[in-house]
Amino acid sequence: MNKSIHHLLIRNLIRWRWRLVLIAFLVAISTSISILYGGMLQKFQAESIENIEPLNLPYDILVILSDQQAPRTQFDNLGTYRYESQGGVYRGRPSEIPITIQKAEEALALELQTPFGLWEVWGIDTENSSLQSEELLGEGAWPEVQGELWVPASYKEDFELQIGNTVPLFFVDEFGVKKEFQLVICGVGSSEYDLQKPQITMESAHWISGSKQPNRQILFSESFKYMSNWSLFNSKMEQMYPGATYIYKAMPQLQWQNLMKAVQNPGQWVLLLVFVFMAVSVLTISLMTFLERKQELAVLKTLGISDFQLSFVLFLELFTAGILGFFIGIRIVSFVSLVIPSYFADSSASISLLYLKNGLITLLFFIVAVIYPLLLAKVASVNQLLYAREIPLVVARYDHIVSPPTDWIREMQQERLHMLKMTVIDGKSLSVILKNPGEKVKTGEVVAFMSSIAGFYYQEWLAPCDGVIQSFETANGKYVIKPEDPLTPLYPYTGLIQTRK
Amino acid sequence: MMFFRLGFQNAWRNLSRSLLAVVSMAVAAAFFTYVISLGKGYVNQAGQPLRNMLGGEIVVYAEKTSAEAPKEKDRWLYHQGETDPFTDLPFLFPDLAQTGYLHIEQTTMGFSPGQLNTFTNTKGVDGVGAFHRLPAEIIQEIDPETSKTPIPEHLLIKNEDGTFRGPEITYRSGIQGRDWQTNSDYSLETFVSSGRWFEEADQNQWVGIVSANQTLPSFASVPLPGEIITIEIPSFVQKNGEWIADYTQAHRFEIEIIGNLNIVSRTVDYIKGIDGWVTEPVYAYLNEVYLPLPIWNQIWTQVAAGVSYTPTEVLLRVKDLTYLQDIVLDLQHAFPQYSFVDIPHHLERVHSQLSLEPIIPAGARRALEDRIDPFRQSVITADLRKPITLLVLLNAGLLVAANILILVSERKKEIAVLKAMGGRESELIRMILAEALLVSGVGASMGFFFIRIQAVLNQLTNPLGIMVILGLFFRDFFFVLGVTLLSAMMFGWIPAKKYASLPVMEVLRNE
Repeated sequence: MNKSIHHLLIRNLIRWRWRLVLIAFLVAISTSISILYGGMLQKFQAESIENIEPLNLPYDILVILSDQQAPRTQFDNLGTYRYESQGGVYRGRPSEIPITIQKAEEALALELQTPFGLWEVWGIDTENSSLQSEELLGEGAWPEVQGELWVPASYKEDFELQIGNTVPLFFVDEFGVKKEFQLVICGVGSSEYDLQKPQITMESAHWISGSKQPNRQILFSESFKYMSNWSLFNSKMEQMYPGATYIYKAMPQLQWQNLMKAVQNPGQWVLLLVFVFMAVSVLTISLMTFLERKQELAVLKTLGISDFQLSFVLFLELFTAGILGFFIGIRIVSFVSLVIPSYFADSSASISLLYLKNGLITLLFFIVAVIYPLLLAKVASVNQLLYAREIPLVVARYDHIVSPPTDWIREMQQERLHMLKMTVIDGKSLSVILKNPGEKVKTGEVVAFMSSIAGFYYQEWLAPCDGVIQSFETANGKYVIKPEDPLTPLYPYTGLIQTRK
Repeated sequence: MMFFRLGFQNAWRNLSRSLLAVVSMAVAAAFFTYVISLGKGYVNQAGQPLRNMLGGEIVVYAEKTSAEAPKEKDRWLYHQGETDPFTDLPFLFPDLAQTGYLHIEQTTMGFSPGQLNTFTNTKGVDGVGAFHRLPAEIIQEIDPETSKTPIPEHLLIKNEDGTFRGPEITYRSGIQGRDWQTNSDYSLETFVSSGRWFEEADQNQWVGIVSANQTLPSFASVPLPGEIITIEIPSFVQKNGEWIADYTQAHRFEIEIIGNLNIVSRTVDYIKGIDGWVTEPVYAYLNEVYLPLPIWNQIWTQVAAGVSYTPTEVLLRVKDLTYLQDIVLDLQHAFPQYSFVDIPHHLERVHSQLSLEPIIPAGARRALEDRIDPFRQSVITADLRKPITLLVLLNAGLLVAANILILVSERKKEIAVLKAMGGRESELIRMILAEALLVSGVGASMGFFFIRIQAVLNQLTNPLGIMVILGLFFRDFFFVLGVTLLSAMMFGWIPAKKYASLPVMEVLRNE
């Protein structure tokens, strides 16, 4: 950096110290609040999951098939998991292992009206069913013949049932005809699995319902416990079983996480508001400072500082304040986490990510906020700075018509005239005309200008030749200049009509 | 006085430059206006027809399902299986029994009469009514002679004389008891397609009203006015504090149908061939039977062996819907052990499940089916209204301070001249503050009107007098204005004090 520019920067930093300190303070507050608040939300999310336990199921996935949906025989992979070999030649080398379904069973679930409310009873194929293991059985035996019923342990306690009890029940078929049956309890479950249903043989289910189409599919997968990409899992299941409901062990926790996200939703708004307010405040302060320093900037520009150098110095001033504020903010956060040791959730990786994310967002908002005054300082001319003229960010200058109509081109060629097109609406000119018909103009002289979009966009029309303004039509904006020298070359419009010599 | 005038003149002269401060104050006031519950209301007709079907504007469930920031003692459980038959869940959300939902472990047993009274003490709640429902089955004996579709032979039952009779068809329903007040205040009379709605004289009659649109098994038909239907209700036994339905000990009752309802669930717009956009109603299909409450109570007494009924769902009545969401939020904070849902949201969920709408005009089907959502449990969002408001006001105040600081610093000379002419410090502060107040006042009024207009439009549709609306309008306006002006005063005072206390010579020397 040029030495004098360096000095200028230092002097400015000292001179505007309180203004810059205010900016640093805002950035510091924004950084610390966003990190502390983000940390609080993270901790809340991490701790809240302890309020809910995963389901304890004797299978991995239960699919409640929708109407007319047949059980599947072929299964896609449900996702993959990362596996690092602990020994052998592949030790430490990670590989992606697919999560596959090893086994599937079908059940025919029936809704039965009993003396104990509505029961969902499963008809199971008794041969080699994983749902009829020794561990699950408890007392008695699994149903083997028609009319036998096995009930989970919780049913025994809730309804005071014993082996040998007869349970009268009704089944309403698809026609609405109610049939009465009796089932005898042959076994009672032992273990406390969740969502267990009473079981009968598949023959009993056929006998009661008259249907042979299973409506539940139970899936077993040894690698399902490694599942972590639940959105992929959901889309795979939706592909395999469109419209079906599926229940798996982690489902309550995932549902809970979604609910907690909704609970925290306003919290995200607070974070956004913190950033927005920081940006608005920094924008105001830097803009006001720019307005105050207009004359100083005009002097610098007069002395020969380039636009880039000027905006660079101003940027460094503001950026120094921003960075200072950022580090003060980080310091505040570390102070708070020292005073309250359990402030953040335990995972240090997620805290680093939080620092990085919120720090970057703060800086991003900060940079967006200071861009406008910096751009103004860059594009402003000395006159605009000194005499409080509007400083447009975009300037367009025309000495010809961008796409003239063919008849205008013909007229220009035949009459040897130069034309410009002013902006007119409903017969009223929006361009401010500086040179009226009859007045003389010199090449490059501004004949009209227009300022739009709250002064951000500025258009100027320049005389393309020395001459006299011949006419201006407010109906179509046609502005005609008759050149002093008829041989002044016309603007080389494309598609210029060639006249035959 | 002159200094006040000067302040106003200065602010007015520089209004274009003060734009940022004006806009930020407007945003702050708009947000503040929203927060003091002016943007969370509904128009008078919102949530219809569900409001009249259930008889209230806010549903309260004894089972806590609204998720909130968890407390340490709370344990949440996943429930899959039959939903509470005494609530509207079985007929509004029939899929819930399969998909399951989360609820808190310590569920209350229901609402005692004392608890119902406590709801009415909440500001904005005008009344409370328990929801009376029982699961039921409607029994129809099919006559093979009159049946529109031929009955398969295996369903026919042989009589002793060798002739055949049709089977007895059962389909699922529910009976809902409504007292006379509910029937008149939340009348479904406009939806009566045949027969009539309840009259006061019906209160002790075994009469009922059913929907003309029902989901029925093949041979059953919708009972018409004048027909007598048989309903079967299971016996209820209380065990470990829970009601268990004994379907094997059912009771039969006969009810005379006096009316059919053709309830329009919503209207849909869609493009229909050469007709272009058409608007068609979608009808609600439900198998429920509406009964007079005294009759419902008689049925309950019989099926529950005389044990009194403890409702597990309650409907709260709110006349003015302008503040409905906030009333729900306040109730939820006052009674965290229950779940509260306002009916417009409840209806939104019913619509997103299409549970009442098995038949949809073909052209609109796709659009509606695309909007099917899984059941969304209600949540109690963290109440951050106050911190957010504080943040907004703080920011707006900072902007006012920055604005005043710059404006004043640009007019140091002017201040010095005023001081030289004998202006006192307090007078100058007043002048500068007057400027801050004008900028903030303009901004705050803009923000207030921008947000408040929606609330006023809502209020105009609700049963409120024009004087009440004007009263509320100005009360809130002065409140918002007061708070924003106070904030502007506080933040404007700092730069005002700074410049007003500068000695004349110092100011002029630096210029």
